[in-house]
Amino acid sequence: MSIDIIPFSFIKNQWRKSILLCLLTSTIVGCGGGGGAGASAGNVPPTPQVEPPVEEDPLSPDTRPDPVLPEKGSVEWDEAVVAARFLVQSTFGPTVKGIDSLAEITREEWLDSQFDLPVTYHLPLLDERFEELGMEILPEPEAPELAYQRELQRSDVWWEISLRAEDQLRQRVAFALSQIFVVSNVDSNLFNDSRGLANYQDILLTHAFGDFRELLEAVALNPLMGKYLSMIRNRKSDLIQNIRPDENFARECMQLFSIGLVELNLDGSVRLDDNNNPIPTYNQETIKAFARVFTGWNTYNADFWWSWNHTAESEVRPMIAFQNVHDEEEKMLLGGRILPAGQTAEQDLEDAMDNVFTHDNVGPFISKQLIQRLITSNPSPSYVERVALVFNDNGNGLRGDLRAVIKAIYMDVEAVNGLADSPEQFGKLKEPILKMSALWRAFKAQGVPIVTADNDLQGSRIRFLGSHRDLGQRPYGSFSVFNFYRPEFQQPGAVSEADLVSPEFQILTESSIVSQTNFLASSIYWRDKDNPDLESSVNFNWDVFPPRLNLDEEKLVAGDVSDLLDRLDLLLLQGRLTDEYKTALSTHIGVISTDTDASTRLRVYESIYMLASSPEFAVQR
Amino acid sequence: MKKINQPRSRRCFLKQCAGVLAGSATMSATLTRLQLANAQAVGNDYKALVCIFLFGGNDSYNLIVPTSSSQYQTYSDVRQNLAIAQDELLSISPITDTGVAYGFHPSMSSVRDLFENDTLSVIANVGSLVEPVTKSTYLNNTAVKPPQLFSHNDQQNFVQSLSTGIAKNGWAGRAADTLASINDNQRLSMNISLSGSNIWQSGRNVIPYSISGQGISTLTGLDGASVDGFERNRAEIYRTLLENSQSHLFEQEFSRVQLRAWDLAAEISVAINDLEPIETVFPEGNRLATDLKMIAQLISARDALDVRRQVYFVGMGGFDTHGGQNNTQPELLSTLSEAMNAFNSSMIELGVQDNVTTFTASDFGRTLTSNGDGTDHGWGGHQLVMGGAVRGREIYGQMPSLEINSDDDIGEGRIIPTTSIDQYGATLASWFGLQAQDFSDVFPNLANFDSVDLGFMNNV
Repeated sequence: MSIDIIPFSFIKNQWRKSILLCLLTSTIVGCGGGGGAGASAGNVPPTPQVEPPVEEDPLSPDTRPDPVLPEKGSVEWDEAVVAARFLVQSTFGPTVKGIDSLAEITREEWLDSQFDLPVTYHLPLLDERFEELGMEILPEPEAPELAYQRELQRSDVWWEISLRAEDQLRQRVAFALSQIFVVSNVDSNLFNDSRGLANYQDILLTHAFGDFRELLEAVALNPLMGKYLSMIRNRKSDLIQNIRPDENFARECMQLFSIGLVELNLDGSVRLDDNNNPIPTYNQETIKAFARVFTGWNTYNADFWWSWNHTAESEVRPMIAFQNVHDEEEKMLLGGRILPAGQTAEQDLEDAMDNVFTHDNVGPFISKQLIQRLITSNPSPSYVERVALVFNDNGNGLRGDLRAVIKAIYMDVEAVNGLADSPEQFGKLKEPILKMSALWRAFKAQGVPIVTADNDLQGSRIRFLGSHRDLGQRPYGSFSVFNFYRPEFQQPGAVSEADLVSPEFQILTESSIVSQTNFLASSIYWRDKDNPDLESSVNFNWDVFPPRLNLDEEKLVAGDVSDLLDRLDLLLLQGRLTDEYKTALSTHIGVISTDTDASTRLRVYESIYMLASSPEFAVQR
Repeated sequence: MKKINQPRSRRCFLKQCAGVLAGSATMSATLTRLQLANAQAVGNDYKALVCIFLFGGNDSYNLIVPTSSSQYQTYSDVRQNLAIAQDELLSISPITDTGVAYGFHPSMSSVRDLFENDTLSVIANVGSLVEPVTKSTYLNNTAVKPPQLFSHNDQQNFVQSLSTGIAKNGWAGRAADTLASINDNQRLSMNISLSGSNIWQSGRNVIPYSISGQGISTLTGLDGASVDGFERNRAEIYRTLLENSQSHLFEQEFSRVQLRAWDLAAEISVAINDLEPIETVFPEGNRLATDLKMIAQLISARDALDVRRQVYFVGMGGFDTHGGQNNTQPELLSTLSEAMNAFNSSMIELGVQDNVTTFTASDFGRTLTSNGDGTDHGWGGHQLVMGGAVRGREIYGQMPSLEINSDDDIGEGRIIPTTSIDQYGATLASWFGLQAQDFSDVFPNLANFDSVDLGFMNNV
């Protein structure tokens, strides 16, 4: 029996529906749509040809053939499973080439090579894109009507680098850091700050394997953070006007970026006093003192402490001090540390950063959250302690060496063997961004041809700025400084009863799981580059369009159902496809013939979708 | 436990009987049926509570402001550059004359009108409390206080859970645990969220159901009743995969959410699509209004969905006005005001105005003093309650002194609440039908307060 293709046209219909919905519900960021000037196939003027890039650009889509995978059941297969699992933890998703490269080197060698790779920065590429499109890099003024197009470019760059850059570990760690040192342009506060956001990402990349103390200071002096947590233009008390310093950055810097609310043991557990009560790390008086520390800062180009002189350049330069509104009185910080009266804004800030950085909580507080973002939601106390010890001392007496911390996180026996020791709990729910990135890396997302209003090709782009609508998550788009989810979130029911935490479940709701699953379908069915019915081009105003996939390798093995499923199993489930499900799937997809290219592709889509929508794919283990 | 309004209806009597006869599930089910039959005979037995949560900590000291000259002067002195001009405030005429005149923020004309036509009241200076706190018990550290005052997520947790330890569930969740059997439809949770996960609606058993204000999507290509045999087969394989319990806890949980979503989206879509559309015009570009409209649609489908009690949660963000408060607050408050007004109109249109009570909550109030460009995290703040069952046009509780360093102020104009969340919630829950014996569990701090019903609901 051969399957007619028509029943699967639901995907196309669904697409139209979601596009329509997008047009109807455009909110803050807007979802483009170019006034409905159709991007859907058949409605657009003739396509400009996409020329393959001439030089070997490391960020160009992968079109090279894959090495041969080992056969299931072999020793090499088992090694490939281990490698794939490691790459789920350490990159935006395993690829066959990535798995293959790990066959020859150890985990530690791979980590060391990643540490030493040059950084793939976002801002330079963003500026390059602006130039290519004839958009000014530094427009004066930054007109609000430019903001959406600039933000689309920034998002393209984020996705293309995250999916394709060689320094995967650094990009993945920076993504984790962006969920601790949160800034977000979901509200109007950081509107039209695309260069600033790309630069903020670059700061996280720069310090991802660097010194935590420097990272903390870079974040504190960043003008986007200054705006986001209103440290910018914060001034000393004015008794006549009854004005006192803003407490926003002071509070969240301690609560979220460094030490947390209560004293911790080295293993991340809460330290208790003699009455079995938690011990607060600070009180309102401490907050007020830090609020006074963080007075007197504005953008680098400001003439006065109160100037509002925000430009595309001031977004990317550290703030500068205005001593005349800096509070010069004495201040008592954590642990009774006194900052003497008369210090400059810079001296106070340096000392305050040192004061926070040397607090005993930082090691366990930051280590545990990094483990949660990268490895598992519920690390054992001893795992946290081992990493926190490295945070406190990298072996050479240095505190806050993030390279050593990251290495300790990945080389830890629990990261390597946690699954075997605790098969029912180890790991984490994949956040939606990592789910899509895993799919798009596995199947070599090629982007979509975006065209300008004049129908000139902009380039092949990963266009996903509007990811929050379908996924409930967008990089740098969290609802507040408290990130998309809290590290202590417990899913009601079995997880809560087991006293475990499950941060990512906070955004897996009945409504988001449906839209996520439907988006997976839209991203798989009919999305491979060889589909003759693909849209010829995509309007420049779209903010979501699933990229084209390169399924050449999958089509090659599609004739053998078992081979096809094994390959997908390794890439998507890291060898966790059960025999039972494999048998059921084999029958199901075996119904689809491989007589034609179209039906072969259909067999591949169906197989990918049935694995990508599975609970196994949803969880990183 | 003092002064709890005694349950009035015969339903309660039957419920107590159910307790006496406990042990027989069938008997309980029969009694529940009886209660419902009885209730239906009495009238239209449907009630919904709608919580509008103002995320970030609403600066309610600019929402309702004294307009009498000396009190206004105090307000204006403390708020300085954040004060609303006296002649811009929208004056109101509360039923009880306290001698001090008040007005709403100029961007809340709809809320003022709702107040004036007896549909809305203000609950003054509500906040997180374990027990009553005075300035001296606060300063000498003898008062038992909620953990981590002034921290956003901790205070959201306390307001929603009323727990001083690690919060596992919230008061709407615990209330729903005891009331759940009243709904014939046991597939759909009593507690529905338009804003995703929240502790308020999570019970020991009850798990809130999340829905999007943008509409209900069903899983595409997975219709188990499709005319297409291949799709039916796909749906069957996928369902089997989800139902076969995986060993991993998170995979099991993913499957549970997916199955619930899959089945309920289909059921609710059918229920809503069969109804007359709501004619009330909701404001455009107003996310809260969009969410409230979805709630109105779900309420209009109450018979199709076979439910008698519902608790809705909808959040609105942006209230953490440390910076730019003078620019953002007018828009925030007008968004809130217009959305509440449209929702009230839709409840009138559906003929359920007396059956649905809407109330606001927030992380905390904000400082009276300015940081130059906004306000910082405070404690007590004012809230709004709206609906046909609300005793409208009144200010309940005590308005605090707005003088800096008054007995109400612990510093910088952080105001000690004089009404607790437990009291506020218990008054709402009493109207909703929570049984007398369940109050101490649902509102664990209630016993520490004298008054356990604030009197703002018509409980008959």
